[in-house]
Amino acid sequence: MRDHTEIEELLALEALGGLEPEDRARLDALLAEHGHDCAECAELREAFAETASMLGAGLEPATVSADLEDRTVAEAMATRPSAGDGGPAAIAPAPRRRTALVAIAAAIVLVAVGALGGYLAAPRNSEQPSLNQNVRIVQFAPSDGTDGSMTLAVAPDGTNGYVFGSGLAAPPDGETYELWTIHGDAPTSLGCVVPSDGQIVVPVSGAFATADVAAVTVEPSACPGAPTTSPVMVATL
Amino acid sequence: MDDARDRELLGRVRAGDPEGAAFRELFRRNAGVAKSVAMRVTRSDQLAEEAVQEGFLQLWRAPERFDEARATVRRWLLTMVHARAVDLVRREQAQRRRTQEVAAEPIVVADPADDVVAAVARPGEAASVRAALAALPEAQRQVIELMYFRGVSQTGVAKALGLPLGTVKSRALLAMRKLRTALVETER
Repeated sequence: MRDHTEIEELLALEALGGLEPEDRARLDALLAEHGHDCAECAELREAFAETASMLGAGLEPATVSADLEDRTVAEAMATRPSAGDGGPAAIAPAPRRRTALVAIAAAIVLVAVGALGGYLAAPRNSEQPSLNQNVRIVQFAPSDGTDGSMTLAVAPDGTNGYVFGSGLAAPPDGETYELWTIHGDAPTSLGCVVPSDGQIVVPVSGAFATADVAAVTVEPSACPGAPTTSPVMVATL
Repeated sequence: MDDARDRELLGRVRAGDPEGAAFRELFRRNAGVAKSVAMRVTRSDQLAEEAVQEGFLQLWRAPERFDEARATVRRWLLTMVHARAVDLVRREQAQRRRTQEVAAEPIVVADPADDVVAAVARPGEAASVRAALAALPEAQRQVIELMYFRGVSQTGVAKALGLPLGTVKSRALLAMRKLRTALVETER
């Protein structure tokens, strides 16, 4: 039976909003290590989130600005998916696609976990890995309106690493997240990825030692060689 | 029941809600509490309303993420608004200022339920939260107060209370375990 002590501790902090970026990276790495189907991890995460949300539910309602309701509804209407999509429910991946995403994510996690040992883990024992002190952890800053968090972990060689993400919104149908490094004004694609249940764990290779920033854009699923939209996440390297 | 109505409205949002009427009613029913949570974290009316708006838009964009088997629509929404509020204050680098303010203040939580008063619509839940918080040892309650209700990171809490980081982590975990038992498991 696996030890969930550290995960439980970090999930409690996550629910309370107390995680630091490096804790987020550590939590993402541990969750990846435990695997997508870790039932105890999911149970702990859901239970702590539910507990924390109950703390807020007991507060007395505050007065909301008169125009906030109209502004919020107008914004929602403006961001409605294109006509014929059938409204917000159309954003959800189709069941078949969702299943495929889970399978892909599971494969990524398996690969990632295997390689994590080389870059991220300096285990004290088989169940208590810790981050290698020479691994560089960089948190992405999301743009306004972007959900979730992403973290880049770069190996000591400066060229290999992993991108971890959680709480990410699924890109619209036909689109994907694309990862980049940018040196000066020259972007280099690191590949494309679609989150599964809001999470990603993806190995990346790039010139992190010389790039100025790493960035994430939402692109057509063809995964273009140059960005066509503004970044939704940026990390200064 | 409040949640039954919220679930019905969320179902209409999932189905498309062409005029946004169900979304609007969800907003009216829950925005006040959501803003209250965000205000506690951000200490800013503007940032709190930004967090509320983004939380509701998150619900609008992905209503299918609500897990029917767990929580209530309101709690799900509050989770998103709280997370957004924390993001906003940290992005604006208000964390350092607030940590300094907090560090300069004496940490007195004479009645942990002072700010958790009975919501008119859900008096039973408010009473449960108040009782659960009151039952925590003061040292653990302080950590919950600073971290959840003020949006201070664990490092900020450690500085504010003059504690090692590991102690903050363990107190947060112990408090959450007790709150989980008191609030969630007894509800089932």
